[in-house]
Amino acid sequence: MSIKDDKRGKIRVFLIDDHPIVRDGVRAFLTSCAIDVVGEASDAPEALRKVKKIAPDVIVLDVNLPSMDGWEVAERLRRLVPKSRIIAFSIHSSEEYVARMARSGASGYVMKSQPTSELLDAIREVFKGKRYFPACVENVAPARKLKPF
Amino acid sequence: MKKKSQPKIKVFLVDDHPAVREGVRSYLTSQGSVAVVGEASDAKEALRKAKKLAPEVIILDVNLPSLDGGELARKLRLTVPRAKIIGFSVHASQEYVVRMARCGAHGYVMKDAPTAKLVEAIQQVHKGGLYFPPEMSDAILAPETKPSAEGEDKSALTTREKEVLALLAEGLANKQVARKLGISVRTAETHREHLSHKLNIMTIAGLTKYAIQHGMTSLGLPAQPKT
Repeated sequence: MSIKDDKRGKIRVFLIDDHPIVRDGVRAFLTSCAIDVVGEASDAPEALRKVKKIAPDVIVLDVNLPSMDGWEVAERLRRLVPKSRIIAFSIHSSEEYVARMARSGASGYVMKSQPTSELLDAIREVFKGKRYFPACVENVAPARKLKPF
Repeated sequence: MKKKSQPKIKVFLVDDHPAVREGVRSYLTSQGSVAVVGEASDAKEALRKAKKLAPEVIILDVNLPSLDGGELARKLRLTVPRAKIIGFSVHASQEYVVRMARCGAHGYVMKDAPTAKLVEAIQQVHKGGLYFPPEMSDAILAPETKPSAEGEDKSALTTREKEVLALLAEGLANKQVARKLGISVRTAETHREHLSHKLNIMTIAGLTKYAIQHGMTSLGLPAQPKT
């Protein structure tokens, strides 16, 4: 297998978080697990501008960006890059947040207080087309269909 | 003759978010001058390990779920008096910075600052200096005008602060509080900072407990973790 093919086989992940240190941590961890971090953004406008061009397989989205609510970003991302799977990455563990993100199109939800390996599991699961939510909200209704922009 | 290399600064990390610890560790490890000698995700673990490892610098998340950052800074100062403490926080407000300084921190770095700032801070405090936002130095140096507000009566809170406290205790985030009260998010954050400062309670768990104890919210509603 050529290096190019090998690279193409990796899951391509885009990170959105306003804290550089979190992006550094997630990037370092995922890279060490053979995940290709193809881009990053620190806020919603930057993310929306970059993802369309990059078309990542999976987007790791901080729910608490300063400029826009996480669910609004998720809905916009779904319209922009419908094939990308979104994982909400959050400090909030309440059912309300998880359900809201699921309804807005996230395929998974991982708490920042969980071991980083949870994020890796979530990325692999949603890449396979599965959902990855905390057990308490497994039955939450999936996102409704959205019309693209 | 080969020049003898400088010993690395021994740093200990305290943060409840593994991704943050991972980020700090990977960044600091890539810098030749620093060695990450240990990590902890909560106050108890931090106090236990810090005593054993005797680090030179401790990077301390100001918002741990179990104990507020100021309190932990005080305890760490007693446990490892030689260690320099840097508050590492999502909060930029003067109240948080001043409180950490008064609790014995030697520096304060925002989590959304470029990561290089953390190395600057580590080197500065390791040399015996302080590393705080320069615009807050007057507030840090100003004498305390009142004793610790711990246990202060809730009547010291304004009506708006009580409303914000009740909504926070019911699990609402700052944005939701703002929406509910028809105020801006920034104003809601300011109310929260003020009431935290007045009550000397920095964590949402602590505020929720206070609100329940003082009959400001119902017990039936689940609390929600928040920075």
